[in-house]
Amino acid sequence: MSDRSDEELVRLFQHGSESAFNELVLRYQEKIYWVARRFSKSHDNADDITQEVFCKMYESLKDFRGDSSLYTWLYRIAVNVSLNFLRRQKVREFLRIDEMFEIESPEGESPDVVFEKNEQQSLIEQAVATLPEKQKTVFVMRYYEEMSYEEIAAILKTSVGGLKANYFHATRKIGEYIRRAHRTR
Amino acid sequence: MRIEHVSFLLPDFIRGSLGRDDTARVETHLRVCTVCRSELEELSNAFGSIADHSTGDVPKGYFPSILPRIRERLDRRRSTPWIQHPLVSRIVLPLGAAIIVAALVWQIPVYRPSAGNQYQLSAVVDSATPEEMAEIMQANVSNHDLNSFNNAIMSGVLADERFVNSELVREALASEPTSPFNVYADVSSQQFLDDLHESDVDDVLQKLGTMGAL
Repeated sequence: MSDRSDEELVRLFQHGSESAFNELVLRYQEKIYWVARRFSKSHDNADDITQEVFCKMYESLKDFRGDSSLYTWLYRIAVNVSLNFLRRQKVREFLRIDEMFEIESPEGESPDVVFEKNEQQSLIEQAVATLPEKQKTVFVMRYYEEMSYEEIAAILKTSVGGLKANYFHATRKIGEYIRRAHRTR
Repeated sequence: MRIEHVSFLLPDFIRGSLGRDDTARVETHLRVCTVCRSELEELSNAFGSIADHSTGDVPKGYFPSILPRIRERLDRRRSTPWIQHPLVSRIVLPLGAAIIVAALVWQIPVYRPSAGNQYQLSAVVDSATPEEMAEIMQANVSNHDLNSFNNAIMSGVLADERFVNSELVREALASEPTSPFNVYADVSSQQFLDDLHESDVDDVLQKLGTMGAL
């Protein structure tokens, strides 16, 4: 990987360089994957979200003006894509489409394999998945990404005050979930 | 005096990410507040548990595989650009889905006001005595102006078991052996009514009304 700056790579991409885009993907893929993974609780979902984020980046990068850093901009896309993914998943679970029409999982996996995969999810991923959307978002951004409340507020377009309460409740709930899980094992 | 608890500052206090002023404030408060001290203990345990559990693993060789798959996805999108267009995905597709759902809903048999006449006609059948219905039938038998369809409707009404078995009805039918009523004698009135077109039911109701049966 070259040591060209983000700004330079963006400019090159805006002038038609496909390799500049490739370089940006390689630079940020791991970070974006982990953002997605923390939101979506499984590798497969995180993989899907990660690809989608970079596709959106490809489609919008020509309009990027550099008002924020590239990573902040990309991170915002990742959060939005993750949240949209979770909302769609919630609707799908509500409608139970898979169950009604007996559709196989996207990879054609049997229910046993899907169950085993769920079992392999780490406890922390399961705990985070039980949180309400806002608490989940704030927890991921604050705990894992160590973002300031001001940054989180800017991305989520909300006030700082409520974020602290969300972080507090999220932490308590996750701690409680893990404790309960250990007691029942 | 109202105590202002510092619960919401505790997560950042534990992780050392609180500013100096807030840290001092929390420390002062914790010296006097048992509620927040127990909250602090609980949260510290929670963070300990979270730290003990790392997120799941990533399959070996995963990261190098991302870029080629992003490229594939982009190629697929280029081949179907119209479906990616915001106008299509946000307006046309949802609108199309709404139309299909509306059309399906329209097909589901539901009670509509115009269908009420059938219920009214059933009510007449249920409430009239055999004698009253037989009178109506006899009046129709003698009334050659009634078209055959309405005769059939009337026979359907009269095919109700109560009326078929009544002496007056038997007499009436016997007086007209070639009457189309006999054709429908084994059809239940309810089934017959269900098969009728709305306008026919309206027509019969009107006639029954004229005869004073309603």
